[in-house]
Amino acid sequence: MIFLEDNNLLDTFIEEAGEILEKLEIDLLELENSSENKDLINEIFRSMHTLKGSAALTGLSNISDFVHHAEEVLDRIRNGKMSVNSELIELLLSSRDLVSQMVEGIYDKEIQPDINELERISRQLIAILDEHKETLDKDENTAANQSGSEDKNVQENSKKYYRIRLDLNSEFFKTGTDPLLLLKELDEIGTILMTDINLNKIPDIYNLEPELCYLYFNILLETTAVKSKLETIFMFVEIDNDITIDDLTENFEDGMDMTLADKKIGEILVERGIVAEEDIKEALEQQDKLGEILEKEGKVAKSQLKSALEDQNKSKNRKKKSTIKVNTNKLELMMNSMAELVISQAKVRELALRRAKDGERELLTALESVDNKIRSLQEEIMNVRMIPIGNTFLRFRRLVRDLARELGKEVKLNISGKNTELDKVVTEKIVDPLKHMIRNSVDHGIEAPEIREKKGKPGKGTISLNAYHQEGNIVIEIADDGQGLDPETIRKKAAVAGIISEDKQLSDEDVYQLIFEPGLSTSTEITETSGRGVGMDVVKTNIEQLRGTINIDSKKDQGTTFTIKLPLTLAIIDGMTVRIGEERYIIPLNSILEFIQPESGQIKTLYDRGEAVKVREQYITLVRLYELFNIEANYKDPTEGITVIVNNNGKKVCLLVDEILGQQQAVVKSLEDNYRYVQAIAGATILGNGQVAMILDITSIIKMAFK
Amino acid sequence: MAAETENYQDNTMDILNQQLTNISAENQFLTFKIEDEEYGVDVLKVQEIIRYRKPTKIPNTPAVVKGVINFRGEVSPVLDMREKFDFETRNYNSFTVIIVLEIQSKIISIIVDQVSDILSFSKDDIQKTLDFSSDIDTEFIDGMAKLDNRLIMLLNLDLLLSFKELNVVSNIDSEIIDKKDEAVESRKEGETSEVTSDTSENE
Repeated sequence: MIFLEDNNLLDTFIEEAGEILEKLEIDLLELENSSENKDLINEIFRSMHTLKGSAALTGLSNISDFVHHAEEVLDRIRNGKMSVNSELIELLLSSRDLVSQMVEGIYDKEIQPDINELERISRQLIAILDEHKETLDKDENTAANQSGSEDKNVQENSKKYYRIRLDLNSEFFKTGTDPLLLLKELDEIGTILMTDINLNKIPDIYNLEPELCYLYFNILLETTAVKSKLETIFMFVEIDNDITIDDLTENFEDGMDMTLADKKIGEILVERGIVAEEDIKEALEQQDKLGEILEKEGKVAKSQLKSALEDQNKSKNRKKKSTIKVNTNKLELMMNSMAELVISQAKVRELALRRAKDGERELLTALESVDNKIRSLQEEIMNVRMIPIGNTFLRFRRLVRDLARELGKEVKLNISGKNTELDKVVTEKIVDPLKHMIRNSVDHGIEAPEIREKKGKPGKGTISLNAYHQEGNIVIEIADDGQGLDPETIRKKAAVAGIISEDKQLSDEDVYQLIFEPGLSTSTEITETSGRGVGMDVVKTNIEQLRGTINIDSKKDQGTTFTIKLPLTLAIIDGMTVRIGEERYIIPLNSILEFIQPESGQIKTLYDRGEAVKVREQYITLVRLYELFNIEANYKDPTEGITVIVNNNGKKVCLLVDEILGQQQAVVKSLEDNYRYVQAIAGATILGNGQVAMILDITSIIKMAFK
Repeated sequence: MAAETENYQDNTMDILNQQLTNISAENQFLTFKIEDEEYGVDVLKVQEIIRYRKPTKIPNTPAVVKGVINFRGEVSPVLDMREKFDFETRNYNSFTVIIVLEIQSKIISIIVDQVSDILSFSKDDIQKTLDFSSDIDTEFIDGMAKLDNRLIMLLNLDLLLSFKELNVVSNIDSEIIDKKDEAVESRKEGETSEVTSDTSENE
């Protein structure tokens, strides 16, 4: 049992650490641009502090010890005793990376940070701290010498006042902690001016559970210690208990809290924990409301009062917006049940329609309303899976920054459309392709500063990331203002690699598409960044697996723009059901151009190219699906069956099928879950009658047709 | 007569399904027949026995995979055991059933000629080494159990349904498949290493 709990704790830590580290990276990069931003520094300090605390609580002392130095440095910066410079940020970023490796290494024993690197960073941080301490000490010494007396003066001046509220969890004693020890610790670092112990929660003697804690404390402390020192006292109890430490120093004059004057008596009593907030509320409710009194006296009109109250409520509600963390597995299960429901519903509808001949209008109306509700429920569940792409984009800042430094270039990353939402699964899968393309842009797109200036462009290059929604798709643009693609070079390379014949006529757009062919690298030399074995062909394959497309627009010396279009979700597809023999297939609706039943004159057999259908002066390759899939079909003559013209990235084919059955939404199930990848198949879906139907992968079918 | 046999078959299937829901003990095996031989699989891996229904075909897939069926919303591949063990194909009849199995968290179904029993064998009943020649490849067989006059071959499902032989790479998408297999492989490795670390900590 204990073991299980430990694991839970560890998992929680890993999850939390992941979030903190991600935020730290973004914040640290931001700090580079605005080194004076106090809020940001505080934010970074808090992240480090939480990281340290959680690691210590989880028993990962290697992490907490390591973070400790970084935290200390940040603490000094926060208190204005040190200033931020790029060297320091670099050091903090490296620390962050090492911690990230340590966290990953908890489960994956193969990922372990370099011990030497760990030591080096630790030493550097300590060195900075020591060096700084010396100067600090010197300053203090001179100050002390001047005033003649020793530390005492300094201490006197920096006396601080804190109000500490310990709202202890009723299970507090069970964790083996004693609140008295906490109070003693406080007493050691300062003077406790006031202690209020709230007894309100203590039940009558018959209901009293001796093992539970019913108390909460309100303490006023005078001390010279800084807040973080107080926080460390409560570090081990802050998770389960509600502990607030307020710095009241600026409110205090001669040991008296000056803010009390501005407060309502109820607030003060609650703050001190003498009465519970509920009691105050109850007491207040016995009074007439202020608005009502005014209204009675005729000072305000009822409508005025009403609108003021409404506005107040609105703003209150806005504030209440809160979030909840849910395990993705739970979401998956929900999605699955939802999909089942859609299928069962389709079944019911089929049965009802069969019966409806008897004129059961009511049944149909009822069914329709169920239909609508299921659809909106489905949409809402889909919405839950949607997350903004912003965080993914922000992650690339680091990539661009590090890479630009490495290559001696100056690159700025512009990000827009951060709030554009898309399916979590899609987001996760698009990260790698995007990373690769951004790398390419920095490496091959943006020129070195000297060259840029010669061309009359600013020395600092710009890469823009943008995302927006368009017709049920999400569009992601990656644009750079670099040298652009050179069609001639690509054409030559493709010819050398044997991808196209030397004399083939191609438009520039077609030439650009060639960079997605395997075995074609547009860079003349292999650098560390581009020579990693993943090429643009993999990028394209990945995007196509997400049922997306990618287009290129490029102008010499003005830059290149990649436009990626992706479906918002992979879970549901709009499809056309077709029949071939006894089998049913779904063709994704977005790839269908039109249906035609060709006449015999339209079918041409082309020399060494197979068959084609002539549609409006254009020959389109005919694909006999029954041949491709090796199944029985009713019609082998295209003039008897029907053909579906499908399109992918400008390439078209005609698919021969027996019959078009109709349009439907299909919940996509992966064949790979229980089986494996099958060529030409994008997945499967379950039809209303409980049967499975295959969803066709048009991209793959077109590839097969042109091979 | 035909109706009678069908009823009889229905009963066996229903009774066995009923028993399946109450099973928890180890060393229990669901036995079934292919041709004249009797085989057993670990009942804990059996999800349900269902009457044969025509699977949806998957294009360009080895003959042993007859297609996929919908099992409680999962798309499950269906493998014909006659084909797998190289027996001649014959028409499916009212005795033919599909056994739905969960193997390494995949839902995989097999078509067999007939289901027979749920039997318990003690460890002593199971002979681990095989010193006889069998009609089927012995690598899929974990051991053999004797019960009165019956010989039951206990199948190693993990090996039998690993799809290893199906991964014939011959197309442009081979690269993708390779990568996927690697990913699956590495994930599996990750899982096992986790399991071992679990046990060591438990001790």
